[in-house]
Amino acid sequence: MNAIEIKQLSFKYPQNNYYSLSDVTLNIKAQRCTGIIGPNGAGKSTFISALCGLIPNFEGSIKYPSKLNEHTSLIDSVKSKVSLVPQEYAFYPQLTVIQNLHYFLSLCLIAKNEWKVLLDDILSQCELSDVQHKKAKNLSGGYKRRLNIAIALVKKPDVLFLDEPTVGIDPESRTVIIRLLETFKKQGKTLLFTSHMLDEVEKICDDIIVFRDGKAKMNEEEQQNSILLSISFNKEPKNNEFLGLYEKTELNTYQKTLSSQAELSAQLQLLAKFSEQINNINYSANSVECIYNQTQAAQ
Amino acid sequence: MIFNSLKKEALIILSDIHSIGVLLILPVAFMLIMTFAMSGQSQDVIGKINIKVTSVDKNLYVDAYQEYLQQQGFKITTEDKVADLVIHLPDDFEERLLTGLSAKSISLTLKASISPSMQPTVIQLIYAGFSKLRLHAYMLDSGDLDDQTSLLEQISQVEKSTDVEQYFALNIAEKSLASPTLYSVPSWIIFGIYFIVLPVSITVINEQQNGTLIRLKTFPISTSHYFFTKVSAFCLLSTVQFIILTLIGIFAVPLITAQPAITVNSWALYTVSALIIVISANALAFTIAALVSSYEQAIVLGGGINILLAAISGFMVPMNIMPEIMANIASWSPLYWSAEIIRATFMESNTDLIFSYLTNLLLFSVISLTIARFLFVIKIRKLMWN
Repeated sequence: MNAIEIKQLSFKYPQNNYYSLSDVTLNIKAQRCTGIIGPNGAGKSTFISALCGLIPNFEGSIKYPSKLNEHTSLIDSVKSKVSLVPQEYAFYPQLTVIQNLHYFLSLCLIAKNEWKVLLDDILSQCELSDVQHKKAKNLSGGYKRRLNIAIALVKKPDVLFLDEPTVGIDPESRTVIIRLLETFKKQGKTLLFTSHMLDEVEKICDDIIVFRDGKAKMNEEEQQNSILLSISFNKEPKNNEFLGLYEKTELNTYQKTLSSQAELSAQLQLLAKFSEQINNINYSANSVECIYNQTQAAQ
Repeated sequence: MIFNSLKKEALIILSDIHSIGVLLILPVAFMLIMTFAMSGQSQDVIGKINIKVTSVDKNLYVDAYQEYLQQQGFKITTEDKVADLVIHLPDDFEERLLTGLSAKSISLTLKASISPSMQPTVIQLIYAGFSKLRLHAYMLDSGDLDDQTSLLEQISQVEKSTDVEQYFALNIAEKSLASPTLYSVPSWIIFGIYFIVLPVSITVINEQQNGTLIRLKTFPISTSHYFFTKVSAFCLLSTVQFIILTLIGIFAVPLITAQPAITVNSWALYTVSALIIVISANALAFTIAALVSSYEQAIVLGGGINILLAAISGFMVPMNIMPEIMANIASWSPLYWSAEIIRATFMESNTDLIFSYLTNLLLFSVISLTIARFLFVIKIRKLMWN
């Protein structure tokens, strides 16, 4: 099931003469973790703003399908299902951890008799129980990041948007947060997060959206487990009908994404016939970095 | 929700020494300073003024004039360095004292150590001393004073002849009404209450800059609901501040400044007035908070407008010495209305005046809150991820 369905989403800021989002059509699968990567200014933030209903006048459509199939507005869907975890520490440093959680909980439509159980659960999940009576301003960077995430959990969201949740913290806290995100995945939450740390995205995410100049390319888990085969010829090969299935990337250079090791063997056997014309053959697991670089090169 | 919001705002304010300073310490300090300043301490000031009288000849009238100046409360000195005021008498002073001195023949030189506000009083006292001297000369000339008696005896006789105090019966209807506390306490209570603008603006800017407002957009609460909850929480805090400032103003300030006690004629009317003033102060605060987008703007616009309104409302300079045009502007200031309401509840209640100003404040609150809500909604709508 899809958590979010996006069709032909385009948006142009009034002060710009170009589209920050251009005809983006993709589905975010429910209960999976989707990484959003791309260089600065590629459209990631605008995309998330649109998904969170922060942009009023976009073209196209964004839907949060519900099991009951009832029609709800984007804003209502966001308010009932989505939580944001900004990169900044979006809480009150003068208050303690528990006071912050109480305050944000008071803004949700949750019965008061459920508060204790919910808060205990959040504190324990985010490993904040020991510091619950400490003022937020006195916490270390890692604990602050965890509190930032904990606050997003008080409204029991189905979808969590996280903006670089591990930036600026020590490796130990980073491990705790990555473990926390994996727990959310297991709990069936849909996670979307932006990051510039590609190894982190590769470790946590099932799917990846790469942005470039307002355009988005979705790479699902299956594509990430594939193999990228790249052949470089010393000159344009003759009898090259088989290359029709390859993508030409540079002069005399072709590449193809293969889904299995068997397919790779078959292709290498086929290429043996052209060994004299071949300069170089490369094949590698299709890493996030590869996907990122390919998308940047292709666009 | 209001309780949690109130608790949050209270904890934030209490953890910030600057907010406490602005909301409580500053107005109390001003109450005391202004009460002391208005407590008729001019006699003490006169007693500290040193006058040097210079003339070519030393004669009876020069000595007599110095004596009369001392009787007015001044100190006489012969040293230039310590003199705050120098009176130079002309060469023909003795001969022409009765027959007629030339115009502007006596020169008065005032040093900067005498404040501009004291100068008119000082000059009037010097003129009065001189009038007595002329009477002295006339009485000697007419034989009403015995020139065989000592100078001090002659002066004593002249002082007795010019003592007019015995002919006046001074009645102050209610001594407390003439008390400086009656002017300073209401003004500085109101000044403190309207300074809620700074904590309100800074809280909103903090929430905007650290992403809390953008996070709140995804919470199941409307912007208007959040706005009015926040307004309510700050109104409750202002009410607590009003109670504290009232208690200090009514009980502590008169005690510390040794001024007559202030009494509230109707606590019910005072309470209703206080609540409306609190709403009005917060309405203005939230309008400014919704307008500003940085700490610098909050301090300059929030603090600046409050100080400006306080100044034109006669808190710092009494209205009766302001130019008429400034006094007319003051009559449109919510701070002026608020202070006048409180002052009226301390005096024989002029209920017509109170209700008229309360109506103005209510109208001002409704308009300001409508504008503030509108600006706040636009501010939130413009927020985007990063």
